[in-house]
Amino acid sequence: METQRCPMCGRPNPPELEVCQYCQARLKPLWTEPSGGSSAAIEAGIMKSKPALEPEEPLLPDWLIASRGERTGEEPAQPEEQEEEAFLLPQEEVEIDNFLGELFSDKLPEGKDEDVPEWLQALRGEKTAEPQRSPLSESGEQGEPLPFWLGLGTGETEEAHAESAPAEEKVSPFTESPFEGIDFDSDLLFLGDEKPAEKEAQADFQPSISPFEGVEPFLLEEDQILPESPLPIEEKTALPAEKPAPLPGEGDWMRKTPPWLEALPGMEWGEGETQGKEIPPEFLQGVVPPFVETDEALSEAEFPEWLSQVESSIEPELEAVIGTLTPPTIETLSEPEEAESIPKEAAEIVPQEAVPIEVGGPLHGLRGVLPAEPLVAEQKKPSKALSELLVTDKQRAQAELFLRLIEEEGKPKPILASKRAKPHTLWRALIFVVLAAAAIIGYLLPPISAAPQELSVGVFDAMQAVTQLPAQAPVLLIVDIEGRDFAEMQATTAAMLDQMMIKGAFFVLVSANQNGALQADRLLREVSRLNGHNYQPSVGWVNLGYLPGGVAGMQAFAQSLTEVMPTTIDGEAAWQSDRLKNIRTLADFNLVMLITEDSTRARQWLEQLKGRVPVSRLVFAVSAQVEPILRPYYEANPRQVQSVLAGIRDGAIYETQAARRGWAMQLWDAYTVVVMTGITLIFIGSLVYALLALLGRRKAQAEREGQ
Amino acid sequence: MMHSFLRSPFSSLITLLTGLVVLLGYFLDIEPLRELRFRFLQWAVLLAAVSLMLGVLNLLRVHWSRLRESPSKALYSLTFFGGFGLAVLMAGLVGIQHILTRAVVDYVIVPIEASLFVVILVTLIYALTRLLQYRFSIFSLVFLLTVLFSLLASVPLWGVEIPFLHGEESIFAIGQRVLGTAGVRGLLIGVALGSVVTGIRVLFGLDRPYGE
Repeated sequence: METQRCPMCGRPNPPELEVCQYCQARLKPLWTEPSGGSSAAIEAGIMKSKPALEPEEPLLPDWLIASRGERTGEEPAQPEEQEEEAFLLPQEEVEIDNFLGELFSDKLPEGKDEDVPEWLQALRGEKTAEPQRSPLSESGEQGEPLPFWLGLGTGETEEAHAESAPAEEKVSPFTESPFEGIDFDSDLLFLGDEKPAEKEAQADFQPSISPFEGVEPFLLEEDQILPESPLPIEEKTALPAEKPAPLPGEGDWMRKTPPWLEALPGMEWGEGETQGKEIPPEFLQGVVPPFVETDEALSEAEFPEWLSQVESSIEPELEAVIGTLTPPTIETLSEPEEAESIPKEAAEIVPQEAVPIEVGGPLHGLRGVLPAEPLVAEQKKPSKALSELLVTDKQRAQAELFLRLIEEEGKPKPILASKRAKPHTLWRALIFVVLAAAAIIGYLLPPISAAPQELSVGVFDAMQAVTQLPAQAPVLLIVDIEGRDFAEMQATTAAMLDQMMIKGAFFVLVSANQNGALQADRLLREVSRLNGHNYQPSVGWVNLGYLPGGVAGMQAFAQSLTEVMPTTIDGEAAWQSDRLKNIRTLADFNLVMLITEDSTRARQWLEQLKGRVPVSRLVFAVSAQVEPILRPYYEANPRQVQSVLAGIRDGAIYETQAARRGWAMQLWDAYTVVVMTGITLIFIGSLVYALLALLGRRKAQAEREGQ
Repeated sequence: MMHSFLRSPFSSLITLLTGLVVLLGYFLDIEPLRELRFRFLQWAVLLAAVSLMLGVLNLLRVHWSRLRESPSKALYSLTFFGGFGLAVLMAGLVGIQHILTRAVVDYVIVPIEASLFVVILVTLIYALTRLLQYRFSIFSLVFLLTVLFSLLASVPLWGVEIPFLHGEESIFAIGQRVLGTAGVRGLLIGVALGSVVTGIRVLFGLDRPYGE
């Protein structure tokens, strides 16, 4: 499969791509020669022919137009114009306008020596110092096209050039490949000691086809470009004995390290090092002068590709890029018309130090090189952000906060003694005082509220269960209450227990709570006392005490209560009395009543008693907070519990229905007053704190807006 | 050594067999199985009582060590030892029907616990009043209004009955029954499922709470 190699990175790419898939460099030139002879034009010995200058090629320099005219045999119009201008204009301006032509026409610009690069000065000095012509130049005169750089190396004088270079015979160095006609295997390139036999051979030398013909110069390895020379560097660079010695500092430019080479990275040579290190790379010895001015000659295809394709659409962009990335020399080349109008001072050659150094691609480190793809090179430039630490605002804020914390950590903070109570503490104290006052007032005041008259379903079912109790019936009381809920549970169950006492029920007390046995005993005593009964322990009830084991204990007790709790809390045999001798299982009780304020305990008892006690004999008296937990069991179909008495309200309803004013009705007024007081406190407090919160928000918002 | 024993496979085997016997006793009404199951439950109750005694002894040991090490905090430990001695005296010697025991219950235990409950009541009211200050949102408003209406519906307001609040057929009562019952049913279903899963994990040895 055919592939095309990228001129930048050298990697193969599919032939249909226009941009390199690795480095995004352009693979196909923007402008190609319409004659199709581009490839042939760079072949050795073949002159590039082109018709007369077309108006759409305004950037070609005069010397190139003239050269093309010479090749084609036509009379170029532009040289004539230049000749006319030469008569009209001073010689210096003409030379400035054709700057590149000057470089290779071996003419020194007057008064511009200090602006000319050192290598060019050395080159010119060598040329002026060497009157003899090299065999290569002679061969050039024989009709063979000689590269310009060989002409430079031969030391032709300016006059010799002027005399021996009529317009039709003068060969422009830009019409040929820079490597054209060079046999790199031979020693012809060496300027050192040359043997006479070799000189003779050089006189008959016919330039062979360049090994790099048709190959992009960037793709060639260094060894491929020029094999290693068998001679030492000193021998190569030594001048021949018969030649006159060049002027010091001018003739041996090859010994002198040019500035562009010093700028190469990693080439910091010490002063004490050998001269060989000061010589340019081998593949450049005598072949290529510094690159800035001869880049077009090295890669002829590159120069006209993008520079001559200045169309109206991309012209401004290219001009801008050229203006920033290329030396002024190229600008002069690209726009000769404008260069003519440039003042003399402005057209001065920029010092070499001011020429930018290439920072990317295979030409990295070289100064004044035309970038192959300026836009790509720009895109490849590393972002500035990559070289900086990326810190987000959040991270910055956290870092500042952390630093502030560290700074504040070492500062001692004085403890301010608060002499006044905080408003919240006062508010808490006010709540307590108001509630306590309401409870006392409600308890002491005569009844001011009517007793609840409605009959709830739970109260009705409980009354039915108590009504169906036979006289002297054994009743199991499971009392799992704590001291804090004793008042509420007493008010809830007092009326029901009073009804049972009226029927002479015998109570068996058990508790799965450590304090339950004491609370159960106290409950029965209080109910008996308040309702005028003469219930006494052992006569009216037996207390089995604490049932350990949690759920397992409940299960065991439900399965066989006589075996699990065989004795009372006083150590007597519980089931041997006359009232309980017939009790063996829970089903033998006429009523099983659970009194608790704990929802979990109520659920556990209900689950363990299920199936052991008939539902019609199972009654729950619970706190108001437990009622929602038991309601699903109570409202299930079929029911799992006969009745649920919940809270003081149901106790008061029971007392009202039973027409016996008991503990619930005594607490009813106090309960009502305390609840209403609590509602008022919650309402007022919520309103005040909500307003404070709104004001605080507005204040904070105003501060933010003010900032 | 005891710790390693509880983590050994032998303890897991005991747990598995015991649990399976108790579980099968719920479904199979076979006399040996029922008897075995009941014995296991009795042992559990006995072990729970013993563990309670061990807890009391551990509490005594801790307070005894504190009494020896830091005399500055001896007051609390001395109070504990005094209460423990009084409880042993009441339960073991005079009994719960004695006037001293009744007095302790009537004038010490119940008032103290009731006072603590009042502290909780004051704290809850205080927190409720500051709810809107900390979190002024629609959910806070809904919660606050629900509490207020529930309290209003629980008292007769001195004979004044608000139509949608009071009565068995009032809107509030119906909503409380429906919504409350629905929520509790969901909770109970979740509790039942969790209990089943926990039992299965213990039976299969995936959870070993006895080894912790």
